[in-house]
Amino acid sequence: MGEAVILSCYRLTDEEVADLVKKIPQLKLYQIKNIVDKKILGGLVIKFSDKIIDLSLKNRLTVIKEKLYEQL
Amino acid sequence: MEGLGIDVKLLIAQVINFLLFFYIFKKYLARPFQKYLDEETKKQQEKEKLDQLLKQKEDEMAKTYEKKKKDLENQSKLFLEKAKKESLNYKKEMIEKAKKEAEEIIEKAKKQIEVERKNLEKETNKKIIELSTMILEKGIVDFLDEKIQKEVNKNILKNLKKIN
Repeated sequence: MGEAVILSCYRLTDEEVADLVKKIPQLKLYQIKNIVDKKILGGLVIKFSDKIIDLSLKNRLTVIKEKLYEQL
Repeated sequence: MEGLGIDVKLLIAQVINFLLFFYIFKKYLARPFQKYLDEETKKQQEKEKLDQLLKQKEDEMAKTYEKKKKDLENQSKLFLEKAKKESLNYKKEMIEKAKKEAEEIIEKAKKQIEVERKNLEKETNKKIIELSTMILEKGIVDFLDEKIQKEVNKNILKNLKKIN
Protein backbone atom coordinates (compact mmCIF):
# COMPACT_ATOMS: atom_id res chain seq x y z
CA MET A 1 0.00 0.00 0.00
CA GLY A 2 1.33 3.38 -1.00
CA GLU A 3 1.43 6.51 1.09
CA ALA A 4 -0.67 9.62 0.69
CA VAL A 5 0.56 12.79 2.35
CA ILE A 6 -1.76 15.53 3.56
CA LEU A 7 -0.17 18.85 4.45
CA SER A 8 -2.09 21.11 6.81
CA CYS A 9 -1.37 23.92 9.25
CA TYR A 10 -2.54 21.87 12.23
CA ARG A 11 -2.94 18.15 12.88
CA LEU A 12 -6.17 16.97 11.28
CA THR A 13 -8.72 15.05 13.28
CA ASP A 14 -9.80 11.59 12.15
CA GLU A 15 -13.16 13.08 11.26
CA GLU A 16 -11.57 15.66 8.98
CA VAL A 17 -9.46 12.95 7.33
CA ALA A 18 -12.58 10.83 6.87
CA ASP A 19 -14.41 13.76 5.27
CA LEU A 20 -11.48 14.21 2.93
CA VAL A 21 -11.46 10.51 1.99
CA LYS A 22 -15.17 10.77 1.23
CA LYS A 23 -14.40 13.49 -1.28
CA ILE A 24 -11.36 11.70 -2.68
CA PRO A 25 -12.15 7.96 -2.56
CA GLN A 26 -8.79 7.06 -4.14
CA LEU A 27 -7.19 7.88 -0.79
CA LYS A 28 -8.64 4.63 0.57
CA LEU A 29 -5.95 2.87 -1.40
CA TYR A 30 -3.19 4.70 0.45
CA GLN A 31 -1.87 4.90 3.94
CA ILE A 32 -2.55 8.50 4.94
CA LYS A 33 0.16 10.53 6.62
CA ASN A 34 -0.68 14.00 7.94
CA ILE A 35 2.22 16.49 8.07
CA VAL A 36 1.87 19.88 9.73
CA ASP A 37 3.36 22.60 7.49
CA LYS A 38 2.67 26.22 8.42
CA LYS A 39 4.12 27.38 5.13
CA ILE A 40 0.92 26.51 3.28
CA LEU A 41 -0.79 29.27 5.38
CA GLY A 42 -4.11 27.41 5.48
CA GLY A 43 -6.15 24.75 3.71
CA LEU A 44 -4.76 21.43 2.54
CA VAL A 45 -2.29 19.91 0.11
CA ILE A 46 -2.88 16.28 -0.80
CA LYS A 47 -0.14 14.24 -2.48
CA PHE A 48 -0.64 10.67 -3.65
CA SER A 49 0.70 8.60 -6.47
CA ASP A 50 1.94 11.24 -8.93
CA LYS A 51 -0.89 13.65 -8.10
CA ILE A 52 -0.86 16.85 -6.07
CA ILE A 53 -4.13 18.47 -5.12
CA ASP A 54 -3.25 21.88 -3.80
CA LEU A 55 -6.11 23.43 -1.80
CA SER A 56 -3.87 25.67 0.28
CA LEU A 57 -4.21 29.39 0.89
CA LYS A 58 -0.59 29.73 -0.20
CA ASN A 59 -1.58 28.34 -3.61
CA ARG A 60 -4.61 30.66 -3.81
CA LEU A 61 -2.35 33.61 -3.08
CA THR A 62 0.13 32.43 -5.71
CA VAL A 63 -2.66 32.19 -8.30
CA ILE A 64 -3.88 35.68 -7.42
CA LYS A 65 -0.32 36.97 -7.59
CA GLU A 66 0.18 35.43 -11.04
CA LYS A 67 -3.08 36.93 -12.28
CA LEU A 68 -1.99 40.33 -11.03
CA TYR A 69 1.37 39.91 -12.76
CA GLU A 70 -0.42 39.02 -16.01
CA GLN A 71 -2.33 42.30 -15.86
CA LEU A 72 0.88 44.39 -15.73
CA MET B 1 78.53 149.35 -120.64
CA GLU B 2 82.06 150.24 -119.97
CA GLY B 3 80.84 153.83 -119.43
CA LEU B 4 78.64 152.55 -116.67
CA GLY B 5 81.67 150.90 -115.12
CA ILE B 6 80.47 147.39 -115.97
CA ASP B 7 83.00 145.02 -117.25
CA VAL B 8 81.07 142.81 -119.64
CA LYS B 9 83.65 140.10 -119.55
CA LEU B 10 83.66 140.07 -115.86
CA LEU B 11 79.90 140.06 -115.82
CA ILE B 12 79.74 137.16 -118.21
CA ALA B 13 82.39 135.38 -116.16
CA GLN B 14 80.44 136.04 -113.00
CA VAL B 15 77.22 134.86 -114.62
CA ILE B 16 78.95 131.75 -115.83
CA ASN B 17 80.49 131.41 -112.43
CA PHE B 18 77.09 131.78 -110.83
CA LEU B 19 75.47 129.32 -113.18
CA LEU B 20 78.26 126.91 -112.59
CA PHE B 21 77.97 127.40 -108.88
CA PHE B 22 74.19 127.01 -109.12
CA TYR B 23 74.53 123.83 -111.13
CA ILE B 24 77.07 122.34 -108.78
CA PHE B 25 75.16 123.45 -105.73
CA LYS B 26 71.93 122.04 -107.04
CA LYS B 27 73.43 118.80 -108.18
CA TYR B 28 75.81 118.00 -105.36
CA LEU B 29 74.45 119.83 -102.35
CA ALA B 30 70.82 120.78 -102.73
CA ARG B 31 69.56 117.47 -104.12
CA PRO B 32 71.20 115.15 -101.54
CA PHE B 33 70.13 117.54 -98.85
CA GLN B 34 66.61 117.60 -100.26
CA LYS B 35 66.75 113.82 -100.52
CA TYR B 36 67.94 113.61 -96.96
CA LEU B 37 65.17 115.94 -95.87
CA ASP B 38 62.60 113.91 -97.80
CA GLU B 39 63.85 110.69 -96.25
CA GLU B 40 63.80 112.25 -92.83
CA THR B 41 60.28 113.51 -93.45
CA LYS B 42 59.26 110.10 -94.68
CA LYS B 43 60.87 108.47 -91.66
CA GLN B 44 59.14 110.95 -89.43
CA GLN B 45 55.85 110.21 -91.13
CA GLU B 46 56.41 106.48 -90.79
CA LYS B 47 57.34 106.97 -87.18
CA GLU B 48 54.23 109.01 -86.61
CA LYS B 49 52.20 106.40 -88.41
CA LEU B 50 53.79 103.69 -86.29
CA ASP B 51 53.18 105.74 -83.17
CA GLN B 52 49.58 106.15 -84.19
CA LEU B 53 49.32 102.46 -84.86
CA LEU B 54 50.91 101.69 -81.53
CA LYS B 55 48.57 104.12 -79.80
CA GLN B 56 45.66 102.53 -81.58
CA LYS B 57 46.87 99.09 -80.49
CA GLU B 58 47.40 100.38 -76.99
CA ASP B 59 43.90 101.83 -76.95
CA GLU B 60 42.51 98.57 -78.27
CA MET B 61 44.45 96.65 -75.65
CA ALA B 62 43.29 99.04 -72.96
CA LYS B 63 39.72 98.59 -74.15
CA THR B 64 40.17 94.81 -74.25
CA TYR B 65 41.72 94.94 -70.80
CA GLU B 66 38.85 97.04 -69.48
CA LYS B 67 36.32 94.72 -71.11
CA LYS B 68 38.04 91.65 -69.71
CA LYS B 69 38.33 93.30 -66.34
CA LYS B 70 34.64 94.12 -66.41
CA ASP B 71 33.79 90.60 -67.57
CA LEU B 72 35.95 89.15 -64.84
CA GLU B 73 34.33 91.43 -62.28
CA ASN B 74 30.91 90.38 -63.51
CA GLN B 75 31.93 86.76 -63.42
CA SER B 76 33.35 87.17 -59.93
CA LYS B 77 30.18 88.92 -58.86
CA LEU B 78 28.04 86.16 -60.35
CA PHE B 79 30.26 83.51 -58.81
CA LEU B 80 30.10 85.23 -55.43
CA GLU B 81 26.35 85.57 -55.68
CA LYS B 82 26.05 81.93 -56.67
CA ALA B 83 28.39 80.88 -53.85
CA LYS B 84 26.43 83.05 -51.42
CA LYS B 85 23.17 81.54 -52.60
CA GLU B 86 24.56 78.03 -52.40
CA SER B 87 25.98 78.78 -48.97
CA LEU B 88 22.60 80.06 -47.81
CA ASN B 89 20.88 77.00 -49.25
CA TYR B 90 23.45 74.76 -47.61
CA LYS B 91 23.00 76.62 -44.35
CA LYS B 92 19.26 76.24 -44.64
CA GLU B 93 19.60 72.55 -45.42
CA MET B 94 21.96 72.06 -42.49
CA ILE B 95 19.57 73.87 -40.15
CA GLU B 96 16.68 71.76 -41.43
CA LYS B 97 18.72 68.61 -41.06
CA ALA B 98 19.86 69.56 -37.56
CA LYS B 99 16.29 70.44 -36.65
CA LYS B 100 15.05 67.12 -37.98
CA GLU B 101 17.78 65.24 -36.15
CA ALA B 102 17.00 67.13 -32.95
CA GLU B 103 13.32 66.28 -33.35
CA GLU B 104 14.21 62.64 -33.93
CA ILE B 105 16.46 62.61 -30.88
CA ILE B 106 13.73 64.23 -28.79
CA GLU B 107 11.16 61.78 -30.13
CA LYS B 108 13.50 58.86 -29.44
CA ALA B 109 14.22 60.19 -25.95
CA LYS B 110 10.50 60.60 -25.32
CA LYS B 111 9.87 57.04 -26.42
CA GLN B 112 12.75 55.81 -24.29
CA ILE B 113 11.45 57.79 -21.31
CA GLU B 114 7.99 56.33 -21.93
CA VAL B 115 9.41 52.79 -22.09
CA GLU B 116 11.46 53.40 -18.95
CA ARG B 117 8.45 54.93 -17.23
CA LYS B 118 6.36 51.88 -18.14
CA ASN B 119 9.13 49.53 -17.00
CA LEU B 120 9.46 51.45 -13.76
CA GLU B 121 5.71 51.38 -13.30
CA LYS B 122 5.71 47.65 -13.98
CA GLU B 123 8.57 47.08 -11.56
CA THR B 124 6.86 49.23 -8.94
CA ASN B 125 3.61 47.34 -9.40
CA LYS B 126 5.51 44.05 -9.11
CA LYS B 127 7.06 45.25 -5.88
CA ILE B 128 3.64 46.38 -4.65
CA ILE B 129 2.18 42.95 -5.49
CA GLU B 130 5.07 41.16 -3.79
CA LEU B 131 4.86 43.40 -0.75
CA SER B 132 1.06 43.11 -0.61
CA THR B 133 1.17 39.31 -0.79
CA MET B 134 3.90 39.24 1.84
CA ILE B 135 1.81 41.46 4.11
CA LEU B 136 -1.23 39.33 3.34
CA GLU B 137 0.67 36.12 4.14
CA LYS B 138 1.88 37.63 7.38
CA GLY B 139 -1.67 38.79 8.15
CA ILE B 140 -3.06 35.36 7.41
CA VAL B 141 -0.46 33.71 9.64
CA ASP B 142 -1.24 36.14 12.47
CA PHE B 143 -4.97 36.10 11.95
CA LEU B 144 -5.74 32.42 11.32
CA ASP B 145 -5.64 30.51 14.59
CA GLU B 146 -6.42 26.80 14.69
CA LYS B 147 -10.13 27.45 15.11
CA ILE B 148 -10.33 29.59 11.99
CA GLN B 149 -8.03 27.14 10.17
CA LYS B 150 -10.55 24.41 10.96
CA GLU B 151 -13.34 26.57 9.56
CA VAL B 152 -11.29 27.18 6.44
CA ASN B 153 -10.68 23.44 5.98
CA LYS B 154 -14.32 22.70 6.63
CA ASN B 155 -15.30 25.22 3.99
CA ILE B 156 -12.77 23.83 1.51
CA LEU B 157 -14.02 20.28 1.99
CA LYS B 158 -17.60 21.45 1.69
CA ASN B 159 -16.93 23.11 -1.67
CA LEU B 160 -14.63 20.37 -2.96
CA LYS B 161 -16.26 18.27 -5.62
CA LYS B 162 -15.79 14.55 -5.37
CA ILE B 163 -12.60 13.43 -7.13
CA ASN B 164 -12.62 9.87 -8.48
